[in-house]
Amino acid sequence: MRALTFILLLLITNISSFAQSISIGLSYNYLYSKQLDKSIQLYNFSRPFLENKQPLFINGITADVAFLFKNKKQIKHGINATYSYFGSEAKNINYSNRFNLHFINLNYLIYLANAEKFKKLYSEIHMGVSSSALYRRLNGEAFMVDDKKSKSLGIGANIGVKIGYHLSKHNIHQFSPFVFFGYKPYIYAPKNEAVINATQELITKNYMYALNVRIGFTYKINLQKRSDVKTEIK
Amino acid sequence: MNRRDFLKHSSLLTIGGLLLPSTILTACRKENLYEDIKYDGKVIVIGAGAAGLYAGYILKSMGINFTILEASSVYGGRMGKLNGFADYPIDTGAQWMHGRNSIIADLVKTKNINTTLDETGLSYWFNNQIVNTLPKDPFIFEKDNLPDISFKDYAHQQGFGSEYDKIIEAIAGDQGASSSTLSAYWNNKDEENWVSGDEDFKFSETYFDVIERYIAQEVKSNIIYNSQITSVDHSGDKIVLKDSSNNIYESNKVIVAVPISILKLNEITFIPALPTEKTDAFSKFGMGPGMKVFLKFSSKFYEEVLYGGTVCGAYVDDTVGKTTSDHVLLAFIMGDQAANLHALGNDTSITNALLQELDSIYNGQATASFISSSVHDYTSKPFIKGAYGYSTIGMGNARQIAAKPFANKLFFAGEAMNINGHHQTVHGAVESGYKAVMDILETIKK
Repeated sequence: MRALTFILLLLITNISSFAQSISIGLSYNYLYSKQLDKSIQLYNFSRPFLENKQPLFINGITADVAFLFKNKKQIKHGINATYSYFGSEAKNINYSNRFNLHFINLNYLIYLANAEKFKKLYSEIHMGVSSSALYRRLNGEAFMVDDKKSKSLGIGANIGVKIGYHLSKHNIHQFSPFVFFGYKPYIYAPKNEAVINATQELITKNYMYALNVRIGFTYKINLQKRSDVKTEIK
Repeated sequence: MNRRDFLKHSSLLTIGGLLLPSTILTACRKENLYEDIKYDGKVIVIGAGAAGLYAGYILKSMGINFTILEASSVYGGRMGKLNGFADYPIDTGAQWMHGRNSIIADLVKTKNINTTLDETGLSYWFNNQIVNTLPKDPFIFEKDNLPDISFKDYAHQQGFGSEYDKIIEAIAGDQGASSSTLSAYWNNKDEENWVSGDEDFKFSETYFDVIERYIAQEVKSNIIYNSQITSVDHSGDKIVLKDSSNNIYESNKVIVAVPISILKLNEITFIPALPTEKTDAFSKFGMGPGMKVFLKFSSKFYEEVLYGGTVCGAYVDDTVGKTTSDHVLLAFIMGDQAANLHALGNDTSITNALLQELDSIYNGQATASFISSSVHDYTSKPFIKGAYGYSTIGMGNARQIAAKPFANKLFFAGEAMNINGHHQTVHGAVESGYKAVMDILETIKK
């Protein structure tokens, strides 16, 4: 863990030295995944002995960090990492069941801003890899199968478009509301149904796709010289 | 429009624009499968084993009219309970809950039912002595690229001599099969889908109690007993079922939840006949003889689990996980060994054969401390005729073909019809039960 933190810090420091700006964001995340829905629906259908049904994965929260590389053009590029969390919990007598779903995305991003035409509106295109991790907790404890945490890991791709608006006139610090439309066309996650419904490929295949919409705020620090920033933000 | 107004309007529009569709989308996303489907047809379930009972339970939860027709006078199928033999109730059929990642494990947790992890140590009767380890590990049947040959042949191919034959027989017996008929390849292929976990649990009461109290209880008023279905005429709009007493039942859909042995032996006549592909698939299943014999002794002289007997492949201390002062040994006999004992013809001869073997292993202690026995020969049960379905050599996708619905009218359930790797288990039977109802509802959805 220490080594991982060290590598991460090293990476961030390294990237920062090439970065024109760093931004962090927080957003509400609406998720739709047909396969995850089906697995939970099957779980509810097959267990009439549970009075309170398991909710679908719908509402989540996402934190993200992005670096834009030094570039004086209107089209910039950078990298972005996001972490998203979704939960599904149902409490029944003797049986409080929770599924925790995490996504980590690493993206290459293209930043588009045309101050002349669109004032403070900007957009970003994200493309990259997405990883997922699904866990189960039963009665407040990690659900163990053969002394191992019940989990399903997934890997795949994701694309997305972000549209934001720079609120402040400040050259260095910028605060922007944004909306993001994301699509994960394919995540190979063969154990999702096994974690949720304790069956394998009874109703879903070994993959999922997901659509998501995020709405939130980004705080951005411009790291380049003030004079350079002024030319960009008018 | 000034900046303030723009911000106000755009943020309201954004929030509204997002919340409205997300609310509509969320409302469209139901928490339950088939929540909107209403079916006013009638469903008949043939067989009140775990699969049939659970199918009924799901049909009831969906508000669908159903009847379960059971050939015998009791529900439970290959599950049962014996009171009075020992100072604790005994499971005469299925008794282990396999794994904790299963629908049954969820039910058990919900109802706060006591279970004990079975951590009994395995011993072997090998070269005429009891040993805890063997020169070579005989558990060689869970890996990729196994050939489609029998367990026995594969073991020989891997250099296991004939001294291991009875151990391999006991391992195959765990699958309800003989080592000479169980396919190494197809058995492993089935196991690949197993997601329940490898731990086994025993109930402080019985497994039968769980099924009885929480599943059978829900549907018992819909069961008609002593109704052995002999024909299913699905040629017309309504399906017409006839039992051995010539009672006639009509329904729109039928779930066939009988043991695979009944289908293999064509004990139910389908009119018109099922396609050859389907009947061929039935015939590819193995369903060997199976027997459980409980032996009560005045003292415990035996191992917790002993593999390798010639008469019985596996002797298991039945009292593990129970609150008892009695000493009960379970002889778990499958395949050829069960066939040999079945051929003896009566319970006394079966018991004597087992005592004789135990005496030879434990220097006469078995007969000296023997109190009584209880024999449960599933081969001789007229509506079961065996232990459970297993994968034979050349099995291929017979399980998938057998389990497939036919003509949107006939649906198949039972442990053998579990296409999800959980066949041969109660939770596998339960899964096949709700899968059959899903298949029915899919036809209605269309």
